[in-house]
Amino acid sequence: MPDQRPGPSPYGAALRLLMEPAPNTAVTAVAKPPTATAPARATRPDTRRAPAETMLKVENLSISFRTDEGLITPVQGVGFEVQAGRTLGLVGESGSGKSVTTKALMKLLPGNAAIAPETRMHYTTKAGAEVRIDTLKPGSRAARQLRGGEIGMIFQEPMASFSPVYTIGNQMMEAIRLHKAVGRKDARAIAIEMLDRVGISNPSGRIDQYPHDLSGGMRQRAMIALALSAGPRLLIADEPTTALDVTIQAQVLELMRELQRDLGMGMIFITHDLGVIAQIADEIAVMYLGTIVERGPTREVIRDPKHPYTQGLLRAIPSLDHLQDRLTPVPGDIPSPTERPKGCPFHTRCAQALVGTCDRKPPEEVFPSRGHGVRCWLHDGNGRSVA
Amino acid sequence: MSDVANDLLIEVKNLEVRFPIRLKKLFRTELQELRAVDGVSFDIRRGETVGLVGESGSGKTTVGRAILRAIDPTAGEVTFHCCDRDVDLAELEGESLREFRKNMNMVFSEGSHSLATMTSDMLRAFRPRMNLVFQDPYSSLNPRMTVRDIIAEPLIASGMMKSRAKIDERVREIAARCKLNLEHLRRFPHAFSGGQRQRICIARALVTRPDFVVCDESVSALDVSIQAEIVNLLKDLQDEMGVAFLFIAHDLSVVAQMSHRVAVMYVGKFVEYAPTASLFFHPRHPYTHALLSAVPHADPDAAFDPIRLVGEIPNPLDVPSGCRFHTRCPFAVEACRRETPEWREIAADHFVSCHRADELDFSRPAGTASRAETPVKAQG
Ligand SMILES: Nc1ncnc2c1ncn2[C@@H]1O[C@H](COP(=O)(O)OP(=O)(O)O)[C@@H](O)[C@H]1O
Ligand SMILES: Nc1ncnc2c1ncn2[C@@H]1O[C@H](COP(=O)(O)OP(=O)(O)O)[C@@H](O)[C@H]1O
Ligand code: SF4
Ligand code: SF4
Ligand SMILES: [Mg+2]
Ligand SMILES: [Mg+2]
Repeated sequence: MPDQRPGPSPYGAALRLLMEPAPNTAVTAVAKPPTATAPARATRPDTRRAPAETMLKVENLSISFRTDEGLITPVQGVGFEVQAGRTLGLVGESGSGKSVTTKALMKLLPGNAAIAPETRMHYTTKAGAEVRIDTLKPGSRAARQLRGGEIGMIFQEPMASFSPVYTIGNQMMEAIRLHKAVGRKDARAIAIEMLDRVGISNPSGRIDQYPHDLSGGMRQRAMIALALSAGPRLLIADEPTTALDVTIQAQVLELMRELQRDLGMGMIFITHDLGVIAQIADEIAVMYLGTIVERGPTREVIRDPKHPYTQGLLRAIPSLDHLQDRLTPVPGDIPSPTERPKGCPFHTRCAQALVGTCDRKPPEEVFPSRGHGVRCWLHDGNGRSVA
Repeated sequence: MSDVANDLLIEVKNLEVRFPIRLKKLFRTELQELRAVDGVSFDIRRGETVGLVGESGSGKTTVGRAILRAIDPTAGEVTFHCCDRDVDLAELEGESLREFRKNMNMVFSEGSHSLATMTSDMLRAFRPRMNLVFQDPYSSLNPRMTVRDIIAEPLIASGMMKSRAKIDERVREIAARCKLNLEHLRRFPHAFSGGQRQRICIARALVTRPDFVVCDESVSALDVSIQAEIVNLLKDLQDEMGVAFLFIAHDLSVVAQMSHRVAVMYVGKFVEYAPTASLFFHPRHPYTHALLSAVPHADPDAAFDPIRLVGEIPNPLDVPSGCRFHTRCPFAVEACRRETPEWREIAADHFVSCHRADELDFSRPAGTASRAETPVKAQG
């Protein structure tokens, strides 16, 4: 028996309208085109053929915090790019600096944080304007416009996005009208379409409910709808499926892939689940203690990991295809942020560490193959293994 | 394994747990019953790990807590086979039950005493044999107690050990087995990382050398590497101590690695229960199949084509008739709407409740099960 839910369908007239650069014309119609020929399901978009348009380029991002134990720098020299219509998967254990990195992009770092002066964050807006995020003032109008309208964010905990005292519809309409000059009626129509799009049944009834009236999975989808109602060009998803059941996670992943395909959104998807990353990301960046130790096309990084930490992570995951007697953890513990090791941050746990080298000098990023970067003394710039 | 019947540790028969729910209506409140666990039967053998999976709200935690008598079963039997006498845990009541709840331990008889009539003094003389490891290693440890005192608490609360020297010895022994640094036993929990805290929780649950421990989402919040460490630790402890685990988790891959047998729960009922390899490679229930299809593999070339289940998980206050999966099952036929499928053994040790289990074959081609299916035998 096939799925009997009406969506997902190729309408998205309202969504596409949201994605248009400002200044916009008034909404005239958000009517749905017929849904008869709905595409079966989203397949992984073959983005490799699409011309890569870099919308975000981060260079040398370092973030420090003033704490009671002194100055810590949990993010050091991070660099990555995001292309329109593609997904960058950011993986790493908790505390590796994933959330802090994306908060820097959103200008949402707390007061005790500072970004290093050599940091560069280039972003291209919907209208094609270049913005240097690193120079924006956190509370400024420009920073507020960036958040939501240009860069949207979804979290693990949906209530971080919603206020409990307003209906879902009110919050969505506010987000829409903040970034688009539309009347209440049209904003409401867009919001309903958006809820429908994320697979919420009876959207015109649900729109007047409060967030806590929804089940966990539905709230998660409503949060995606909220983030998308501002029509972001870049979506940052911080562990959006970690708290969900596998069945709902699968739905959310499918939904995000579909929306990305339809809207050409760029995405940064944070997770510690390599299974999820393998299914959603075009490129992967692996973080360890605030440094990207390896990055590259998903298939290459997973099939042929170059960094001992990436190799360790991949060995540690339990598989559904092979029942093993024992799992293989990465040996040792993550050092605390106040005791960041000198040299390669991974040397305290690395079985292949070169004494005298790895514990002294941090390795520079080298590229064993095009687009596949690694920071490890075992590799040289020509793609050869040195050791 | 020689005599399976002798290896039985826990037998659960028709377990039901209902919660009274007050629904606010316009002018009155209406009392309804939520059937969190609605007739569950299974058994657990000595030294065995039984995995329990299912979506949130399906009743996994409630099954675990009902077996431990941390909550009252509404109906059914939970029999704990011990030494020479079987005890019906569901019949425990009064003072003795309050005592158990206070300690969050399950105490049971080794000799000829009936648990129903035991006084709390008598109970203290018995060994706590069941325990619980919580999901969240942060909130389940008292921040004002040292690690030594946290681990020692079940020993003291059950009155099982009085001498300080003996208690210290036992705490150090179990802490060492859990690979905790013995120098750190005087510290407070906040000084420990997530993985270390979970080791503390495990040490505490095992300090009384119980026969049975419920691990409720004990590794779910941990990073993969630490998760792998804890899974290995639990397996080692099981080999050494012969303890049986009910391992509740929503991550199917971890359950696959950890368990000898696995049960799948849907809206208060078991839909399938089988040895791990059978369940994961030859599932017979459409819901098990759907769950498995939704797990993303860490392989970009592996097909990821999750089965779309129609609609939402049913509200446990309004359970569908017949097979409760029929509202979402891609294989449902007319009979599924009317008749509740019986819980039957479709192959050796493989239980399922589905009208169409005989016709449906969800076998997955891949899969190497290098692991022994039989659990280690308990020592003494
Ligand atoms: N407000 C803060 N004050 C001080 N340190 C912080 C703060 N927020 C984050 N950190 C530091 O940054 C590190 C990385 O945190 P985070 O980005 O949240 O990790 P992840 O998202 O990868 O789990 C933490 O280990 C912590 O040391
Ligand atoms: N103390 C309680 N009072 C009322 N309902 C409860 C209580 N505990 C659990 N429930 C309900 O019982 C059902 C099963 O819950 P639970 O056993 O926690 O599921 P799981 O562990 O599989 O997520 C859920 O619908 C839950 O809301
Ligand atoms: S640089 Fe050295 S310590 Fe770091 S990962 Fe490579 S071999 Fe290991
Ligand atoms: S009994 Fe019918 S509805 Fe239930 S799982 Fe089997 S086929 Fe599906
Ligand atoms: Mg984070
Ligand atoms: Mg639970």
